[in-house]
Amino acid sequence: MKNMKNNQKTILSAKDLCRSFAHNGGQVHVLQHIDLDIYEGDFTVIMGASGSGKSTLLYSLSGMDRATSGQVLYGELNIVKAKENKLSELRHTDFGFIFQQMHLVSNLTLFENVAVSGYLNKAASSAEVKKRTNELLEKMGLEKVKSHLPSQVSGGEQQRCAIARAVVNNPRLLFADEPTGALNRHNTTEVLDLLTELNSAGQSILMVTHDLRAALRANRLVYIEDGRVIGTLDLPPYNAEEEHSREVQVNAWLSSMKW
Amino acid sequence: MEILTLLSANIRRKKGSFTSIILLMLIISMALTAFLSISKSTRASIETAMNTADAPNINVFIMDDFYKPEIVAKVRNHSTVDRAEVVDSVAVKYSLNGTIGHNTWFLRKYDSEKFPRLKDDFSGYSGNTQKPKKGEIYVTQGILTSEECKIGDKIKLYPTTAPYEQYVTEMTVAGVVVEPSQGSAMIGWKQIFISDEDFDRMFTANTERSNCHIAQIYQSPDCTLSDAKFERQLNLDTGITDCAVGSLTREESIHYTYLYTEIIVSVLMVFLIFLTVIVMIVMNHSIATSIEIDYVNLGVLKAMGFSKGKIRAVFLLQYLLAELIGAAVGFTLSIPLTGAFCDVFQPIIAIPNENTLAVLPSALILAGILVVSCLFILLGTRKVGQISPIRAISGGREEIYFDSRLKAPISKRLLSASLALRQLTANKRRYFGTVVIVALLTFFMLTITALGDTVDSESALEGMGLITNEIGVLFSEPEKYDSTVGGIEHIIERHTTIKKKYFYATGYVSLNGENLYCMYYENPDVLVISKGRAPLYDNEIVITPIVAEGLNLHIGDKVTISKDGKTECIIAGLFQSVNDTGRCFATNLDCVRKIGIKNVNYAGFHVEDKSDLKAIQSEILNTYGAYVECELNEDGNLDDTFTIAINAMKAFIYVFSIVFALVVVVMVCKKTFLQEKTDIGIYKAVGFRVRRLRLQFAVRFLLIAVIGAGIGSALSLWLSGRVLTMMLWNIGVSSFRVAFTPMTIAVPVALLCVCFFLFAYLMAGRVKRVDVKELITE
Repeated sequence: MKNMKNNQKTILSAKDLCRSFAHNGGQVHVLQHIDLDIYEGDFTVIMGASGSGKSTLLYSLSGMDRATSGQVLYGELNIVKAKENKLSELRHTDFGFIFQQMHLVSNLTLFENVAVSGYLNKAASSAEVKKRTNELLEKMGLEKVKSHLPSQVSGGEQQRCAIARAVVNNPRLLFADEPTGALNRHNTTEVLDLLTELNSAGQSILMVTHDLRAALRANRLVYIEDGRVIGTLDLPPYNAEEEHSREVQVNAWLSSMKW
Repeated sequence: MEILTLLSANIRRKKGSFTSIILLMLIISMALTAFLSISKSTRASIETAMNTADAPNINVFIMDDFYKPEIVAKVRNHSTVDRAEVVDSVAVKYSLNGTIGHNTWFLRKYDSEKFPRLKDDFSGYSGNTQKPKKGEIYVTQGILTSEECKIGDKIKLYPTTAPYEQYVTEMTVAGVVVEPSQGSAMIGWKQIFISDEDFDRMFTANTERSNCHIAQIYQSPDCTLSDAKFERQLNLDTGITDCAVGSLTREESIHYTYLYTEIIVSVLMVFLIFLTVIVMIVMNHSIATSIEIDYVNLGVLKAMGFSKGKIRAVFLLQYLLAELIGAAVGFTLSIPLTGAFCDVFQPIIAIPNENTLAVLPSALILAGILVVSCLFILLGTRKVGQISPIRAISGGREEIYFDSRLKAPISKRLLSASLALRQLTANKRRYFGTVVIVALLTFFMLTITALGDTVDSESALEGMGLITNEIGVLFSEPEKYDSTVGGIEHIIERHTTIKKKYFYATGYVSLNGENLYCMYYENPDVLVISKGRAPLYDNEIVITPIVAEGLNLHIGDKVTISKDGKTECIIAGLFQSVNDTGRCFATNLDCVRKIGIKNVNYAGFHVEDKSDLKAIQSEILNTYGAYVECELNEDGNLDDTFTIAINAMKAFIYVFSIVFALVVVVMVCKKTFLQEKTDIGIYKAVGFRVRRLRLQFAVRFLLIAVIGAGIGSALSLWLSGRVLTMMLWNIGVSSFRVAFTPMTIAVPVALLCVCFFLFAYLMAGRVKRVDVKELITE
């Protein structure tokens, strides 16, 4: 990658990205000429008011949705133009995804939900996938409920399982769409701690949230309004002991963005 | 009004399942009405033709040598007889294109009022009353079918006892008439018509004593006996059938004429009943999944104040409307279908079909089906009562839509297959109906395939008492049998090994006064006995289970057989035969010699090597051609007509099974797809490719098909023989031995499984349209 930030490589790069939808016979421009770089090792959080286009941006960047125009470069690959099969490959090799509503396959156990994703990785043997799955579930505190179906565990456990699933193939970039949106306070903290821990271990994360507590975990904040990036804020890596001062700083920045 | 609004909205939104129910009901209604109409109009046509021909209750064929006017006088004076007329005829054999026919024809003078002529295209009566000219014959359409001849063909006629060249008369087929008593292709003996001039010449010549008198006996209107009992009583009192070469009652004529149609229609009707059951299962499944998928909408409707009764009424009307449309369209389409089917059957029945629709019985049965389906719908919509508006509004249906926690293992190597198995085992109740449907379709496909295979299987036919022989030698002069048969065997053995040989003759013999077809063997040990033993002694006979049931006879019972004399016999066993649709018995030559029968006249040889048959035939004819006929049966053991009928039924059942499989897969897939849309999105989001997901979907349906086919195959192995026996009892099959081969099972099972897999794979093309964005919560 040519673009660098403090010697960090760019993983993903959006160039003049636009996304429009047809609505009532007209066009709604949800994303307008966005230029944005996502760097390796960063915990990037996209914030913005409801309807600002933050989720659309996340999905356009991850290839879950196709942008109307512009480019999303992942290395040499333009995700906007990539074929469906290439995107499928990216999803089980380079990208991981966490949804707000967890979306675990309801008839698979927690273990299987994670392992099935791992099985798609041709490079790993079945035994390696099982070993990695067990390790992840243990790390997520799910080893006792790994044989349970999603409906038999709490929302927090489901989301932790979804995180394990998202990282089972060691993705270069982890996308998270409001991962704490459907959780209570206790479960939210657990999930955020896990994400922070993953980031500390080098996992690049791109997350959309409107939750200030989740935003505090980021070392880079991107603010989006009416489909345009109107500001970014770089922060030092998260440290729980400095959370108060970090909250003041982020609040001030968000206020300046008229949040 | 609100119900109508919801109804139209539901139909708009669920066009697919609405159309599927219409299609399924259309097939059922169309086939049902057509089958009932064929049945009704065939019977009506036969009855009308019988009345036109003034057909008697019994036709008794008495050769001139045995004809005694005093017996006919006794018959006329019998209390059960209204009148008896004697019609003169000449019994002949025939040859067409060098092939000698198997049956006997009775030549008669033509009566245009009783036996009206058909148009040249057989589409109806021509109204032409012209008699045949010298050298012309009028035949029935059944002759054209069974002998594969046409108008204009030359036919050689011989005296019945031999193809004596000096007595051959050649005549031209000049017209086709309706003779309902024996005109059908299902009856061997025929009455055909020649000019008065030809008849008088032949009757006067009485060549080789071939004159025959047909006693036409009409039952008194006061007599309520069935034709069979009437004939038996008359024979016991007068001996009329004992002196005859054969007889045929009006009821027998109708039975044989209608038999072919009856068998096909009854097999297809049974299949139709199964299809109806399948439609009910499909509908039930459709309702259950609709409720599951529409949980939120139904909850909202409840919250708005719709009672469960109103919601159930919408479901009821929706499915009932689809059924009614299907039934109405099917009923309309049955009109041309009935005509087409009747055209197919006419060459066999040999009577123009009246093509009347069985409106009332069809309407009643369809109404019955609708009532049953209403019950199914009401049962299926019970779940509406359990819908909670609160749960529906706050989050929709229950999170877990599957009903089982059975965890089939997931493996990396067989990821698609193991995931498919999990999806199946986790939702087994949902697929139960589909498994039942596959089982039913498999059962029917296997049964009809087994029937077809059995017809081609030598051992199975032998097991059922059907004699298979490649070389048949008929002795025109039975007295030469003993001195000739050894030489014929010797000729055959020079070419190949004889596996089995049959020496016998047939004729009508009375058994306790009942005129039955009798086969008497010089070597009765060749008979395949199903119970008891072969008739080895001169006072023993064996009967078919059909005769046993009809005359209430058992092994060990004493009976009297009579022809030109009487003798008492013991029933030694039961055997199976389709001769005269099972109304026959068999014994040995020594036994029938006691009632005036002199010798056997037929030798059949079942040989090892069939490559040299033509040479054997020609050698036999070169050596003994002056008094024997030699026929070959190189391929096929049953008449072509039966093979065609079986193949037609097979085609019908296969085609409709595949159509039903398609409709079922489409309906079930659509609902499953809606239910699993989120899962599909998840799989796509974690990196599953479309092809893998489609494969996974198709494998699941393949597994369902394999399970269903397994159950269907087991059912078929267990029940097909019994079902076929039940269906074919009327043609004399009292114990159908199914010839199951690996291919009998493999082909239909593979066909169904491949269809399920392919249809599901095609339906799963919708996976492409599932966007991962479905998972986004905005």
